[in-house]
Parts: sequence; structure tokens; C-alpha cells
Amino acid sequence: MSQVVAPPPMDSTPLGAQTLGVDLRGVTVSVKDVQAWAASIAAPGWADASGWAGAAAEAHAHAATCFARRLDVLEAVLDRVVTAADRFEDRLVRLRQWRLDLVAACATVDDAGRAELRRRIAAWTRAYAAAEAEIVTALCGVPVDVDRPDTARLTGELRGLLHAPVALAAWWRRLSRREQEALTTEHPELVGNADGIPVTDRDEANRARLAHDGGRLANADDVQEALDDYAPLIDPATGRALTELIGYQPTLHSGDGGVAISFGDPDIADQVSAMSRA
Amino acid sequence: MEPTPDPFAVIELDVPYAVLREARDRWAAAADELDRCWRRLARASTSGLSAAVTRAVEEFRDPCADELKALGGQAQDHADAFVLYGGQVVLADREQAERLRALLPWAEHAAQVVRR
Repeated sequence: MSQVVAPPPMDSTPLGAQTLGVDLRGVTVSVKDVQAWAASIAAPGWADASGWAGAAAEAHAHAATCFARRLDVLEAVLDRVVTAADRFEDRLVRLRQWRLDLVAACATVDDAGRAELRRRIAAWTRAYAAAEAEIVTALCGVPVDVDRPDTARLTGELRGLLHAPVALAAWWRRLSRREQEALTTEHPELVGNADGIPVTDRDEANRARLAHDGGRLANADDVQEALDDYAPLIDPATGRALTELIGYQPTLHSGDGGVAISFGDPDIADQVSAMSRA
Repeated sequence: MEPTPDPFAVIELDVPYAVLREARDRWAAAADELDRCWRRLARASTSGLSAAVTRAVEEFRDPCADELKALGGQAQDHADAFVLYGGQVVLADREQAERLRALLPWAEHAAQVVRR
């Protein structure tokens, strides 16, 4: 009687994708920061060369205008890649759980169930390959995006819902992943500390801002050090880092800063206990 | 007949000194930020990723980091173009004054370059 071969190990892990996403988001936050300054001093209509009519030659020679446009292209590319990395991470979390179920099934399958289990393992293998192919395509063939999220409008809506967590949660769920990621890297300080936004998304925003602040704010370096101490801890349910940075306000309390770290995801936990330092 | 340029004339850009200093500082800050950016991107982790994904990350990362590095270098060149001394900007000629004007906020794009 032939045995069922267990699904192959995952060469790409949720933690690997999560770490890549954190690094890319940190870079994107900084690029957006510089781009926002350049855009603020650029010629009117800087984003659209046709809007330079009348002063086109001057605008072409205007350094901040050219700089803002060049950074804007880079920003669009980074937004796309961050979104792809985020999707990859989510898919790997699901694939990991699916694989664990299949490995467990291999140990208990009877003769009647072998064919069906082989079919499920083949489906898993195809899904894993598709997830890898998608991130590779996104990284290698990043097109210039002509239909980008309207972050100015989204930011206004987000600000209007900051004190209404239930409504904010519903609004956030309706956004596309690209819109969520664009907001996360444009305003990590809002997304990362907004009650109503899922903890994993807040963690992504706060880690991005933490990466941006690293080396500049002592509080940021302290938080990073604390997260690094817990980095070896992996959430057994997801394969991601166990810690979630669910609050990060480095200049709060007259500069003392405010930070909230969870172990595991309190959004889906059966029980939650909280500790705070007086 | 064109008048002979006065070799002792001083070229001035009709922009408040505070604006010039602010522009220089902001270009320098942008250079620092972009320098940090490309270094951070160049170090972006590929641990825990398959060989194929790692290759793709590297193919994306390297040219993107190069672009950030180039933009950072450009910002630093712009910051260095402002030679400020004793509460004034030092200008060698009209060409330099016009170049400097192009580095200021668009609100100053019509600032006059004057010879005194």
C-alpha cells in the first residue's frame, strides 16, 4: 500500500514575508516624507506635466518639482511592492495552517482517504507555487501605477472616524489592500494608533514608523531593542512574530513616549490580560 | 554698444536670507533621509524567503536603492550649492544665482537676480 507523501516544507515563511514587509514599509514611509516636502515646494500641478502650461520651462528647471516627480514614481513602485509583500504574508499564514492540517492528516489517513488527501496536497502545492509566483512577478515587473489610491481623500475619512472605532473598523474593512497599505505608509502615526483598525495592521504601521524613527529618537531605539529581545518568539497560530506593536507614540507624555506591545493578536484571542507600568 | 560689465559688481538674489538658509537645510535633511533610505533598503531582509523570492527581492532592491542613492546625492549637491557666509549667500555670477533660485520653493521662482 503506497503512503501519502506529506506536503513539502515552505521555503518562504510568514515571518520572512513579515520582516520583508516591515523593511519595505519603513523605507516607503521615509520616501513619502521627503516626497511630501518636495511636493509642498514644487510648481503647482507638479504631478502632471501638462499642468505646467505657461511656466513649463521654468517648472522643468525647478529642482524640487523634478525631485517631487521622480520620488513620486518611486513611491508608486514602493506602494505596489509593499502591497504585494503584505498579500504574500497573508497567503503564507493561511498556507502554513493548511499545510499543518495536511501533515496531521497524513499521519491518520486510512486507505479510503488516501486519494482525496493526495488531491488536497496537490492543491496546496499549486497554491504555494502561485503565491511565490505572484510576489516574484510583483517584485520583478513592477508597472508604473496610473490608478493610485486617493490618499488625501482617504486620510480625511480616516481622521473623521478616529473617535468612532466601530465605524472605523467597518470603513477599514471596505478598503482595498492597496488603499490600506497606501494609508499605512502615508500616515503610520494615524493608522498605528487608531482604535478600530485590526491589530496586525496597526503593528505594520507602527513598525514602519519605528523603522523611520530609528537612529533619530532614543525612544524608538529603545522600542526596537525591546522588540528585538522578543524577536525569536513566533506565534504558533500564524508563524508571524509573536509581538504586535499596537501603540507607538514616541513623543507622547512630554517626550517620555507611549508604547503598547501585545503578545499574540488580541483581536482573535479568547482571553486578554493587560499590564501597564505606572 | 553694450556697456562693459563692472568686474566689481555684486550679484544678488532678491530672496530673504532665512528662505535661503531654510532651503539649504531642507535639501540637506532630504539628502540625509534618502541616504538612510537606500542603506535600509539595501539591507532589506531576505531571510525566511525561498531562493526564487530572494532573487526577486534582490532584483527589485538593488536598482531601487541605486535610485534612492542617486536622489540623495542630488539633494546633497543642491544643499552644497548654497554657500552662506555672514548672513548672506555668496554668488559668483548670474548663472549661479539662477541655479540657486531653481532650488528654492516655487513661490520664489520669479525672484530677481540683480547686479549691484
